[in-house]
Amino acid sequence: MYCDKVIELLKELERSREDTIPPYNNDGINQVLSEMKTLDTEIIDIVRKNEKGNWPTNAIRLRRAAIERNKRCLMTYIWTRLQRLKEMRWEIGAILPSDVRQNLSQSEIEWFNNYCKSLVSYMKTIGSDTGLNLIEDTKPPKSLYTEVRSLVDAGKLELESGEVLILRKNSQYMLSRSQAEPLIRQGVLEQVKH
Amino acid sequence: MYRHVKPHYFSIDAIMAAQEKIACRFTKKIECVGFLDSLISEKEDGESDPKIELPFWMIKVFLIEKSIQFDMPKAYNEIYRGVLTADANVVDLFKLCKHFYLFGKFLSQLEHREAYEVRRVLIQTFVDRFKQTMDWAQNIDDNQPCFNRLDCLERKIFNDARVAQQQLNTYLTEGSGQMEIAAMILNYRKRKMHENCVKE
Repeated sequence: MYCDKVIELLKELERSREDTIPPYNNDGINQVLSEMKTLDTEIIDIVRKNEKGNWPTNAIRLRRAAIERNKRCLMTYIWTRLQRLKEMRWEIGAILPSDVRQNLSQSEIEWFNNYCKSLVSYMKTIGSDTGLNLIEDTKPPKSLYTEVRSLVDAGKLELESGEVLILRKNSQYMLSRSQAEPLIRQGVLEQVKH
Repeated sequence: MYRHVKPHYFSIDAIMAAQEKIACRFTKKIECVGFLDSLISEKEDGESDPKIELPFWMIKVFLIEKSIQFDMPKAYNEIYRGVLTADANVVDLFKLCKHFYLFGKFLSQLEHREAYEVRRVLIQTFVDRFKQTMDWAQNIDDNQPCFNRLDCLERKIFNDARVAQQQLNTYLTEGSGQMEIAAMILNYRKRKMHENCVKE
C-alpha cells in the first residue's frame, strides 16, 4: 500500500530515545522519493489515457494525497532529527560526541555548523561589548563564586585571572560561577551541596 | 512543554494517528487503483459488499466524492462509548487504541452520523481520566503498570507532570540555583557504560 515505507522510517525515529539520533536512513529516503516519482508518472499516464471529463478522479486524488503525505512524512523525519540536533547544541555544546556525528548525514553536519555560527554571531551582537553568552546562567545565579568538587582528573584549567589550576579527582575548589557552569554541565565538576 | 502535546504538521503522533486503519466498503466502483483491485477481487465471488481496511487518510480522500462508507472503529463504537461513559478509569486505552484522543478527534471531524457522540465521549473520557493520571504521576513511585494503560497524549502529560513534581521536590529540599550536569550528557554516559558492560 502507499506510504508504508515512509511510515517505517518514522517508526524507526519514534522508537529511538528522544535524546538520541538514530543513523540517517539514506536508502529508506531514496525509496520513498522513487515511490513519489512513480506515483507522479502514474497520474500523468491516467490523465493521458482517459479523455477529458472522464477522468477517474478518485484514483488521481488518492495518488496525489499519497504524494502529499509522503512529502509531509519525509519533512517530519528531517525536522524531528534537526530538533534533536538543535537541543544537543544547547545541552552538550558545539562539539558533538563522535558516535552522534557518525549518525548524521552530510547536510545535517553542514546545518549544525551553520547553526553554531549563527548562534555565536547572534550572541556577539547582544549584551554589552563582549556579547552575552545565552548558555550561561540557565538558572538564576545566587552568588558570583561557587564551591565545586572535581569528579575526574581533568588536568589543567586556566582561570580568568591567568592562574593555572590542576583539577584532581575528589578535591574541592572555589571557582567563579561562569567558569564552573560549563564544566558542571559536562559532568567534570559537581556543585557542593550545603 | 505545550508544543509536545498539540498536533502540528510535523508531529509524528498526528501522522501515526492518521495511519490507523478503519474497516470500510465502497459504494461506487473505483478504477485505476492498483492495490485495491487485488484486495477487492479476491472476495468478490461470494460477498456482495466486500469490507476492507484502509488507513484514515485514504478514507478522507474517498469521502470527498462520497464513494465510501465506514463504521466507527471498535474503540469508538456504541459498546465502547457505553463503557467509557460508565467508568473511563478502568479502560486500558493504550491497548484499545494507541492514539485514542488524536484519532478520535480526526474521526469526529468527518461527516458521520455518530461524530457528535464520539466528540462528546472523547472530552468526557479525558476529563474523567485526568484526575487519576495526575494522581498517579505525583504520588506513586513505581508507576509502570499504570503508565502502560495510558494513551499517547496522556503519557506526555504524565511525564511532564512527573518532571514538574520532581522539580518541586528538589526546590523544597535543596532550594534553587543548583547547577547540574546536563540530562543529555548523563543519559549518554549511562548508555556508554551499559554498552561497555555488554561488550565485556
